[in-house]
Amino acid sequence: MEKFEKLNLEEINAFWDLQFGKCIRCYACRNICPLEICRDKCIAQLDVPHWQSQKINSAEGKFFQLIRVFHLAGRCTECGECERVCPANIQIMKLMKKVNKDVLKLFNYRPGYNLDEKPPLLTFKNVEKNIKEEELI
Amino acid sequence: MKTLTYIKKENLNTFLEELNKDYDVFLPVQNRENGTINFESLDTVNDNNVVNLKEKTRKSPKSLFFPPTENLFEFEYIKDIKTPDIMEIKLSESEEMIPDKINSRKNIIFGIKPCDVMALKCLDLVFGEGEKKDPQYIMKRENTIIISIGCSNIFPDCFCTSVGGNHFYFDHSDIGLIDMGPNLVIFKSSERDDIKELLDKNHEFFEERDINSDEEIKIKKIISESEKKCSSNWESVNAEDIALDMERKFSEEEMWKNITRKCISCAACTYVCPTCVCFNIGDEQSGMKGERYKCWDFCTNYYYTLEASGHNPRENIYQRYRNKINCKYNYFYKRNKNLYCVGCGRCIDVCPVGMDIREIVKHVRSSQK
Repeated sequence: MEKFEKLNLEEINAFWDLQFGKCIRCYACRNICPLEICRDKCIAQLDVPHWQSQKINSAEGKFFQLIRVFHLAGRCTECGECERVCPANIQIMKLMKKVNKDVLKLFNYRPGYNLDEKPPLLTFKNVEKNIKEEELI
Repeated sequence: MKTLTYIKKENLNTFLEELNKDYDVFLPVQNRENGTINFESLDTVNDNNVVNLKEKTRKSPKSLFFPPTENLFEFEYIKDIKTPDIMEIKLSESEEMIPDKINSRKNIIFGIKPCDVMALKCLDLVFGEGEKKDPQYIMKRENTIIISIGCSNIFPDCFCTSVGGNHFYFDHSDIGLIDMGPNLVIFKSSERDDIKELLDKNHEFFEERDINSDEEIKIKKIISESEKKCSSNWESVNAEDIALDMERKFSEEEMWKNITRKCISCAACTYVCPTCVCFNIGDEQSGMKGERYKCWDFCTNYYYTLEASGHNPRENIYQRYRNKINCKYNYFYKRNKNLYCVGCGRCIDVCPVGMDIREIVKHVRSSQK
């Protein structure tokens, strides 16, 4: 992960373009994920509202995979099933691990470790401890 | 067979490179990093992507004839400010498809296995026959030369012999090769002019001599061993029986619910299948311009039969999976006297939850109420 993070933006972009270009929108990752109960209502397959096209190409694959990552941020328990079942062998876990790392840094939260903890992205706080809003602008 | 025409495997790479000068060559290429093998252009072969003719490809070669996404045409709404109540629609050929039309180079698909060639026969029945034919499919099909290599090794999930196929089925191939160790022997070659031209132009790669009795025996043995059925669970190859059984067992809902419980309704099996060709048609518009496209669809999808009213005739996975099995082993047979499964086993290999279509068909046929 550290080695990957050291790459510059162009290299990372090229890597993910290659990975997402392989996505054939089979939804095996989405349907096997223990947290994604949205399979019959997924925005990736809706015509109204029209979030994305049903076309199977690199741009649409990228859109779907990125939406998926954000949908799972703070909820993914890194079971690894998504990467196991992907027919195109996309390295999905790299993305999930990175998102979870960011969630840990921002919210000091690891999904699934403590049942009493409230998932940070499912709750709302006026002021977050680790997010300095002034620094974001 | 009187003469043996063969190419030494050590010359294969040079032969393919030579072909690539006049044709666009597609063949099984394995990515070193993740190990998946798929049909790619010869131009992608490098240190990281190597040719692998032994193993099965992950995805079928159907993408070369039936791509995942294809533009049908483009449209533009045109309005004149002087007559605002009139709107014209201009239809034009999709820019994406024009290169296909003006590309005068033929395609060669090399190293395709007999099961996949049999699948092309099924696709021809869908897109190439009847009153309505798919012009884009026909254009690609007529523009492709098929060089098939028979299967000397089979895999645990192969079952082509259970659905009427065999490891050296060369009927729909233009050139059929048999792997004889250090050489690839031409077992069948079409009499068509363009095939003869291909072989003539590249005759320096092939050696020809009279066949000796040992070699004749060896070839006969390779072919007769193909009669040996793949390791599968079916005894009968009679397609008519399978179709009738499917029909009889259709309304055994509890049975269907039990055997499809695992299925997660993804498209993995459908998209890797060499015969599955259900598609969606949609419009993508931005402002006054847009295009109409055709893209892959999958019948295990909840949305497959969802109607505009909100009603869904196949709301549950068992109904959708039952439809899939019947489509392949019943309906298509009734219509075309051809099963719609070629026994390649890719669905078994790729299924996230381990659904085995052989087990399912066997279970359906032998179930007692």
